Amino acid sequence: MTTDPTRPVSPREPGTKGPSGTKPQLGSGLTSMELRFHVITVLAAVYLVSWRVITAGSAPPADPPPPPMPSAPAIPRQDTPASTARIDGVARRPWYTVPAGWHVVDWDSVRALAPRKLERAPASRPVRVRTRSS
Amino acid sequence: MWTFQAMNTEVTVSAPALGDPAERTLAVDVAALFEQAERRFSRFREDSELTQLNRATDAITVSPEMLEVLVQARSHVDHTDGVFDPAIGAALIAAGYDRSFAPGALDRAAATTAAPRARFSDLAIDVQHRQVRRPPHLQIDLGGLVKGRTVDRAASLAPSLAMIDAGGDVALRGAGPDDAGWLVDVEDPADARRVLMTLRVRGRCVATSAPNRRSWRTGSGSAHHLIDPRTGRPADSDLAQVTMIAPTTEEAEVLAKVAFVLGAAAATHVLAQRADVGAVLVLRDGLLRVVGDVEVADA
Repeated sequence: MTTDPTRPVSPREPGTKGPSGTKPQLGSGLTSMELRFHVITVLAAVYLVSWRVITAGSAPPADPPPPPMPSAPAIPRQDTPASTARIDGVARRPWYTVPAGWHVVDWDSVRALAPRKLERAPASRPVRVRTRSS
Repeated sequence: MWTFQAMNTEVTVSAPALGDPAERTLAVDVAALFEQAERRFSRFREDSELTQLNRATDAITVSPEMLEVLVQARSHVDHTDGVFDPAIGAALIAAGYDRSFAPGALDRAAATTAAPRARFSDLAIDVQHRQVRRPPHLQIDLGGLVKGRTVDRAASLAPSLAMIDAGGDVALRGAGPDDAGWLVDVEDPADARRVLMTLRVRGRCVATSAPNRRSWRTGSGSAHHLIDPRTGRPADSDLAQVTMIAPTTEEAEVLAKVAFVLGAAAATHVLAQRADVGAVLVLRDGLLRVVGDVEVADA
């Protein structure tokens, strides 16, 4: 069947082919590709709404969300970028699991393990005792 | 000879027969002992085990080290009929000793108050389960006792010729650098620049009780740290100072306190019953009394 290129193009009747190479059209006037796109879009919207409904109605999570970072500026080490901070300078509860057999040592006790400052007594100081109550 | 600061005093370690590196190593080990003791037994540290015990409202489980000290303290209380009693924490606080001592730091215009009478024997100690229950009004102060014990432990690390001096609580091992006895200068409690007499001590320990270095002003007058457990107030005997010589620093510390609280006559009577101790009593009227096994150096 030949076509007259001068003939104005009229809406295709259902079931008829359009210009050669095009896909058949359905009754809604959409191509199958366009229909697939719309179906996927609708399904995605339904999923999104359903998920929000489900999560809004569910129980609170077992673990509370981490507290926000403190507003005090972090204290970076000199050899690290300014955006980082020492872990012992961050005032928030650590979010890790302590392995079995380990325990968290507070910083004061670690610091206290450092030896006391020893001083050498002058050689001229006599080795004798002075009684005193202290 | 090496020094370091611990228990709010200067600690001196001397082992004349050791070379420098070995003597320093000894000093490091001694410093570690004092650090451990202070972390556990200081009533001025918020995180010490003693502070936890003094704040406990129910029975608590204590460490083996704490249990050992509490049991030993109870033994001293029993042997001294309560004249030595570590349950003076509340009395010390009431007298004004509520923080670590520094000259002038405890002075206050307010008058002191009396604390409720507390007895160490009221402390319930379950040795088997290491559980201790403290009555609410009972506060424990282990300062002197622990310092003496720590000096003794430090001395056990030292060679046969050594001196461990923690602010006047001293362990003297051997016969001194010249084998003629360690020289011990008895300070004048009225003038720290003066020496009243010099002793020679061989293989024994020394401790001194006197109010002169830890006293402060209050609205009631002056106060000091040597509490009479029988009254709950600073002791008011006829003694200005007691220097005690005993086989261990712990014993010397306990006996010095007991003698100071009892006064010259009663102290002389108690000390006369012990062949292995000696003392120099300085009375408030200026008299000196030497009791028991004491060697005085030639003038």
